[in-house]
Amino acid sequence: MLDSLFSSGWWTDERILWVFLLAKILLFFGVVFGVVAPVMIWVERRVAGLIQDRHGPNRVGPFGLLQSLADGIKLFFKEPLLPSQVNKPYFLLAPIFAVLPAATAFAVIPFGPPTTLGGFFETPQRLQIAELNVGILFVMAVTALSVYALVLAGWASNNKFSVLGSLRASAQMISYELAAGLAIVSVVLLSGSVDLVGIVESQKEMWHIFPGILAFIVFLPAIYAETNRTPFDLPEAEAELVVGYHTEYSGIKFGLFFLSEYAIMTTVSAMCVLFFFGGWEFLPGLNWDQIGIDVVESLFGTLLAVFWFCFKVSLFLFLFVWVRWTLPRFRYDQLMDLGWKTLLPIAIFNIVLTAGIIAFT
Amino acid sequence: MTGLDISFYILAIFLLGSSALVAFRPRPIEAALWLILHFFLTSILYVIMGSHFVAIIQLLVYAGAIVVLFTFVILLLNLNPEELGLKTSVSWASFVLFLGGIGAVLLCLHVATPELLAPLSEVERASDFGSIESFSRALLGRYVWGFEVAGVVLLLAVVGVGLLAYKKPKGSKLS
Amino acid sequence: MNLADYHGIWILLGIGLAIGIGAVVATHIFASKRFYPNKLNPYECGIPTEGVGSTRFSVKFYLVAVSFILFDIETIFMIPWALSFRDYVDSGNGPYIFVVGAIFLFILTLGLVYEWRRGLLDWNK
Repeated sequence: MLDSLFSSGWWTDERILWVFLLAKILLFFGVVFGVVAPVMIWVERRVAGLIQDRHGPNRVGPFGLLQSLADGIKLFFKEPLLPSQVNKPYFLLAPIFAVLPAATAFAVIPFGPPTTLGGFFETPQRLQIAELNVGILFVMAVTALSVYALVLAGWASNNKFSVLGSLRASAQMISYELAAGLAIVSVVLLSGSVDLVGIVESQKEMWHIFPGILAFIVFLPAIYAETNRTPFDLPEAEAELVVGYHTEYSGIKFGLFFLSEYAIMTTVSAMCVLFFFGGWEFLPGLNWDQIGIDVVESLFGTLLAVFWFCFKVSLFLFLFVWVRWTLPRFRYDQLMDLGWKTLLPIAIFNIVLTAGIIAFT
Repeated sequence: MTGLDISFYILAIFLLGSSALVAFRPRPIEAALWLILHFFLTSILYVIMGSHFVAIIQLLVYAGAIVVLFTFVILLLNLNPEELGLKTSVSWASFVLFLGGIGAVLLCLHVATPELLAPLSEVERASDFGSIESFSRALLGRYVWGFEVAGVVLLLAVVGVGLLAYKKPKGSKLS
Repeated sequence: MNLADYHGIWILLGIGLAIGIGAVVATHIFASKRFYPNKLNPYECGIPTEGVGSTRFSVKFYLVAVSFILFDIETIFMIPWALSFRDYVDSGNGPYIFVVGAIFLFILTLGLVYEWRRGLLDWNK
C-alpha cells in the first residue's frame, strides 16, 4: 500500500524531506510543550509533596496527572488583568517574548542518531529540526535573547518588585552565561566540533563527563542560574520580591512565562546530556554498535536510541526538581561571587588544562 | 529576480524600518527593542549572504550582550522622554520622509553601480565561505596576531571600565 | 549547509509567535472581565502604593553588564580556536596552537585579576 502511495508522483524527494521536517517539528514541539512541560509541572508538585511529607495534587485524573491540564484551562479563563500603572503594549509583549526563545532554542537539539528510518531514506537523516553546523552557538545566542523577556516584563510592569526582580534576573543570567560559555569551549576542545551531532559522535568511545568533569561542574550551576531555578531563584525570591519580574502577571500571561521556563529547562537538560553524557550513546565506553544494535539502519535501534536519550534528559529534569526542593537560596552577593570568582576562574583553568593535555599527550 | 532576491528586498525594507524606529521612538527602551529586531534581521541578512558564523555572532554579541548593556543604562538613568526634552512622539511624516530619503539614495546607487550588487562568482568564493571552519583557519593562520591584539584591546577595555566607572573608596567604608 | 537548513527555525518562530499572540488575544476575548479601580492597583502586598514603580538602582548592575560584554567577546574568540585545536594537533602543530590560545587566555585572565583586585567583583562594597 505504501508503495502505491509513494509511486503516485507527488512524493518527490524534496516534498518527502519537507514532510519529514514537519513531522520532526510536530513531534519535538508537541512533546516539549504538550507533554514535558505539563508533566514536569505535575512532577515538580508531586515531588515537592513527597519531599515535604505531604500529598501534592492527586485528585484530577490518575495520580493527579491531569492537574496541569486543569490548571492550564483555568488560567485561560482567568481575568486578563491589566494593572493601571503598566505600559500596556509592552506588558502584553513580554510573555510573547518569553515564548519565542523557548520555542526556537531546541531547533538544533538532535533527539536521536542520524537514521534511515529502517531503510526508508537512502542516506541517514538527522533527527534535528535545523541542521546548523554552528549548533552550540545557536543555542547560546537564543538563550541569551531570553533575557529581554524578563527585562521587558519588569520595566513594563512599572512595579518595584518587578523592576528589582528583572534586574536581578538579567544580571545573574549574563554572569552565568560567561561561565557556561567557557565550559562549552572546553567541550568544543574535547570534541573538535561545534555541531551537536558531531559532539555526540565524538563521544562514541568515551563520554566527555570523564575528561570534562571540571567543565561539567561549571556548566551545571550555570544552567540552573540561567533558568532562574533554585538555588539561584533570587529573581523570584518570594520572601522579598513577591515573585519578581512576573509579579503583575496573572492568567495565561503568567502561564506563558511558566511554560517557557519549563521548555528552556528541557533544552538545557538536553544540552547537558549531549555535551557530557554521550547523547543517545548507550553507556560510557560501550556504544550501541558494540552490543550489536544498529541505530542507523534499523528502526528498532533508532527508537531505542531516541528512548535512551529521552531517559537521560528526564533524569536531568528530575535533578532540577530534586535540587529545587532540597537546597536553600543563595544571597545575592554569594551568587555573584560564585559566578565571577569561582566558576569563571575554574572554567578558564579547565580550558588551559584540557588544551594542554590534548596538545602534549 | 529569484526568490532569494525578493526575500532580500523584503528583508531590507524591514531592516530600514526597524533602524528608523530605533531613531524615532521617543522612549529609549522602545528604541532598544527595535534595535534587537534590527540585529536579528541583520543576522538573517548574513545568513542569506552565506556567512553563517557571522550571523550567529551578530545575535550572540550584539543582540545578546550589547543591547543588554544598553537596556541596563536606560533603566539605570530611568529618564522619561519629557526629562530628555523630547516630544512624546515624533511625527510619522518625518519617519516616512527619512525612509523615503534612504530609499532614494539606495535606488540611485542601485542604478548607478549595478556591479556592486552582483553576487560573487563561484571562483571568487571558497566552497565553505562563511563557515566557522574557514573562519577559524583564517583567524589562527594569517590573522593570528590580530587575534592576540584583540585580546589586548579587550583587556584595555576592562581596565577602562574599572577606571571610569568605579572609584576605590578611600578611608570611608561607603563608596 | 544552505538556506534550507533554516526552514525549521522559521517554522518554530512562527509557531512560537502564534502560541504567544494567540494565547494573549484569546484570553482577552474569552475570559471574564470585572475590573474595578482597586483591583487594578499595582501589587504592593495589600497596602496602598508608596512612591513610583521604577526606582534607580545600583551602578553594580551596569559594571556587570560591561564586564559581561568583554568576557563574552573573548569567549566567542575562543570557540574557533577550540574548534580547530585538534586539526593543528593532528598536523603536529599542537604547541603552536596551545601557545596562541594560552596567550589569549592569559590576557583575559589579566583582565579578570584586574577587576578582582580593584573590587569590581565585590558585590557588597
